[in-house]
Amino acid sequence: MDLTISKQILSIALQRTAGIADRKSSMQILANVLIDATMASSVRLSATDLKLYASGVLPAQVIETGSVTVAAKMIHDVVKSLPEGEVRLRTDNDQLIVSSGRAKFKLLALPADDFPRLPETEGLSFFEVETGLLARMIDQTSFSISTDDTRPHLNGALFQGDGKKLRMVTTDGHRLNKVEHKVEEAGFYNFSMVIPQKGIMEFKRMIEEGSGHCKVAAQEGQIFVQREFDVEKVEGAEPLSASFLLVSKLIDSDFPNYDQVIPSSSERVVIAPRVLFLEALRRVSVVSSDRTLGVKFQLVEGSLEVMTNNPSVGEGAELVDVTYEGEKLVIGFNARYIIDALSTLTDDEIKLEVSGPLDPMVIKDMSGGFVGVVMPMRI
Amino acid sequence: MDRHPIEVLSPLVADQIAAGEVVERPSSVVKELVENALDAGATKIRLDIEAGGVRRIRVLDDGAGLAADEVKTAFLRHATSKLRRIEDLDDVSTFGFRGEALPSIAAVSRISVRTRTREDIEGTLLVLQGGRVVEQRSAGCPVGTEIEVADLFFNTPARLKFLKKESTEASHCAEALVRLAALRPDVGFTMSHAGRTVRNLSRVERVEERVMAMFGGEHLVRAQGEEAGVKVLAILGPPELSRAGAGSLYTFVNGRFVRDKTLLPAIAQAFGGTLQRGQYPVGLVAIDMPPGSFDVNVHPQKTEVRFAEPQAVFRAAHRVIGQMVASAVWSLGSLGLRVKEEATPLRNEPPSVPREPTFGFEEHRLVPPPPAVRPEPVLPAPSPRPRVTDPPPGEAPPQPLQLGLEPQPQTNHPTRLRDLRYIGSARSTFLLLEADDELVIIDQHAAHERVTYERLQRELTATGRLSSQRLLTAVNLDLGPAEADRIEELSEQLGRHGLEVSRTGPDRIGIHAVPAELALSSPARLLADMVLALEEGRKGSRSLDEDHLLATMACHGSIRAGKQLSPAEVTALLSQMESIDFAGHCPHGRPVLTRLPWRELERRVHRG
Ligand SMILES: Nc1ncnc2c1ncn2[C@@H]1O[C@H](COP(=O)(O)OP(=O)(O)OP(=O)(O)O)[C@@H](O)[C@H]1O
Ligand SMILES: [Mg+2]
Repeated sequence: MDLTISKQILSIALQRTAGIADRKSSMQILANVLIDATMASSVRLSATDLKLYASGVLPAQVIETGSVTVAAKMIHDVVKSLPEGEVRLRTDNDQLIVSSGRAKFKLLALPADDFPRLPETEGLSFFEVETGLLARMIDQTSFSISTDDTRPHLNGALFQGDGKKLRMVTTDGHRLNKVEHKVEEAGFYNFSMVIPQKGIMEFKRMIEEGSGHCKVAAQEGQIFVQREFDVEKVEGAEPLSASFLLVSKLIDSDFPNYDQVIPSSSERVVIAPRVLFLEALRRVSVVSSDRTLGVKFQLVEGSLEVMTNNPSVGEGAELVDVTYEGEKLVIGFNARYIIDALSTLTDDEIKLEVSGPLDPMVIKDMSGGFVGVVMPMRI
Repeated sequence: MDRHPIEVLSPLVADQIAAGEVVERPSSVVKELVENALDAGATKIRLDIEAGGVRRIRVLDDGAGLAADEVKTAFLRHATSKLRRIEDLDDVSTFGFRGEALPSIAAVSRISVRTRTREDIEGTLLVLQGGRVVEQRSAGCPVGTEIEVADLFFNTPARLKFLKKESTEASHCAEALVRLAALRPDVGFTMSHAGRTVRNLSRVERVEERVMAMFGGEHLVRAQGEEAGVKVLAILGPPELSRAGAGSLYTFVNGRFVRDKTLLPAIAQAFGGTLQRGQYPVGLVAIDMPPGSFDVNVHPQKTEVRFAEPQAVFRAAHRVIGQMVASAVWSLGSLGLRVKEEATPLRNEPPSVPREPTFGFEEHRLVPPPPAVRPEPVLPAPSPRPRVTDPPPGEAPPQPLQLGLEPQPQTNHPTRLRDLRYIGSARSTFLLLEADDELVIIDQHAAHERVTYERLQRELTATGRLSSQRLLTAVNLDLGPAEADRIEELSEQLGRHGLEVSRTGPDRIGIHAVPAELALSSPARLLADMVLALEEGRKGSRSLDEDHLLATMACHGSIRAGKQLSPAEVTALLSQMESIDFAGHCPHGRPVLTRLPWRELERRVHRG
């Protein structure tokens, strides 16, 4: 193998893939990236921890085809340190020679044959999603993925499409957050999968920058997300683009029936100014116990008072003017659960629906795409 | 059914029944006789028993003795020289006050008494059998009293059947003696069984010395304090030396050994979870309070008292001992490093005096008197401190039945955690902090557990219930019916601790809410562990249920060893440690921190 590639492109690609490599694994090769040059003008970089798999296809000038693996962290650090310009990657027996200008490094390499087989993308039917939309859906739900390993079916986000809507739902057993978006594209097909927490986070990293669309497909217990990036723009020339692919194993158990825990009706409806309410929650919870962030809401006509009383610190309270006409209610919550939800929303106002002090409270945004259910805390 | 007509019992039968209450076994006789000797102002008491005390119990004292005309009266029911009016009972400063012991013992044995007062030239010999005087005459004997109780229960064979084997009865007798000896360093006690000396507690000056002689150990820490009129003296061993059950924990109220429902839990809880399940520290806790604030006349063997304000007693004991536990570090123990014994006990030297470097943990320390307000959480200072054997300046020797509970001068210089510099962590397990003269090493899991434990306990004490987070849907566990029954039975106690469960099917338990502090733990695992903790607690003493349960819960809610903490997390942990009464042990009894003096390091690299 012998090729040259722009330092900038290689560096970006390593940044997006090398992190997946598993340095702690007993399989030494999982700490490596696979550099695979089979075409004349592109090279593929891949890394995997056997659960997640990341790869990027980058523009390069391949002089001699071939493939090799090297320690992901090492090559990343080496490339980062190089000056801007072209980098040459060349194999020499069991070494990869990285050179740029007068700098030259010989890195110990392992044969590509030992690297795990990568998932096949051939024949997959992808659908397109706007990256901004998908990123927002992840933002509004990923914070409530359960980490309880005795309930693996909750350790991920439910991602569904039903022809008209895209939906993402997470729950940690105390709260549930669901976001739905209408999708214009025709021919959208049905799917339902549970993406593990780590996969969700990597997806988010992959799509959060820039705009445009990404392609999504699912097959055989894996989700594939593919995205093109402009990696180098030179005046007057076509921008060079690279294509990145992220594959995650799916959680192989059924997500609970989320509809069942969303109350269909509530006795009390409150319209609250989102930012004022959020700030009041943040302020008052400063005094509450660090771990439980227990706060009480006292709801009376026209106002919602956020209160906390921490025997070892003191107490705090703040009144928020809200639209509410109903009986007085006092109910306790973990402030964190409500802060998490409110801070990912964008509407000026939000709707709270609640019945009794032991019943779930529903948080909705005014546009109706978001539904959060929070169970109360007995303080 | 045939029924006898109602009759008044003959005096002898009445005495035997009453005796059954006072004299349960040989050790009861020992207790009564030794108490009488102490009441008579003895300075030396000798106890000899044979065949576990059944064949013979002899108590010899050098006390005031009885005048010839009093001896027979002493064996009459309700004959006492110690109490005249019922009001005196509030103020009773002697062990005896009922005038029941001697007649009760006499009713079930053959007794001979030899006694002489200082004023008399001749003494008296009185012999009784089954309560009847069979002989009385003058006899030559030294000042004091010798009472010999032979053939105990000879006339009540049913009683005899309940006795255990001789060695067991003998050790009960020894125990009765020790309980009386603990707070009376001013009296010498010896005891023999079948001619062999089994106890020899010579006269010493201070209670600590007596307690050390009793336990034969040096790992005792002393603390004393007073709150709301309740004086507390505690001389206790470290959690590592604790024992299952309260058998080696001697508790006293105004000099009287008692087993109290308030006191034992207060002590155990003050140790927090540093004690292993079902365990109590070894040592002694003595409460002293104004006459009238408790009632001693509630138990035939006087081993119970009734406090007018049990909460006040609980609080005082809990606080004084809690502070002691919080700042005491008894031994290096679990690190497995050999602790070096110093040849001569340290006196109150100024901290600057150079001394042989040690690991700093083996020293006994005096805990400063508890200040009126919650003290700054402190790390035990490494400066030399007096051993408990050193009489602190100005402390009067203990008075009979009156503890010397004067506050002690503060002699240590506490180091605050926040004054130390965090320099990193080792093996993602130990946090390393640099102090002026030592390296402080904190076990992050143990420390975190301790912090969580304290928080849980504080919340529970303040509100009586732990706050709980409700679950969206019940977590259902399919169990056997027996298992489900067990859990259902515990549901109230679990609920108080934030875990709400109910039977949701014949074989099924549903979890509806989890403790808010532990909201991230797996509900199923939490239930399993909490049930286990409660059941283990049950096997031990009830009062420990709570601690053990909280310790289990704290473990759930705590960061594991092996998790790399960010500097922010370390700061948070250290500041949490400061916000509680920092104790040297995790709730499971392992030390939270250890220290390595720089001098020790320097010595190891042959420097300085
Ligand atoms: N060893 C002793 N030396 C001097 N006097 C004694 C001795 N033992 C008993 N007496 C006298 O005998 C009396 C009766 O003793 P007894 O133990 O029966 O009653 P008590 O000690 O007064 O009350 P209690 O039944 O509560 O022990 C005592 O009050 C005391 O005056
Ligand atoms: Mg008596």
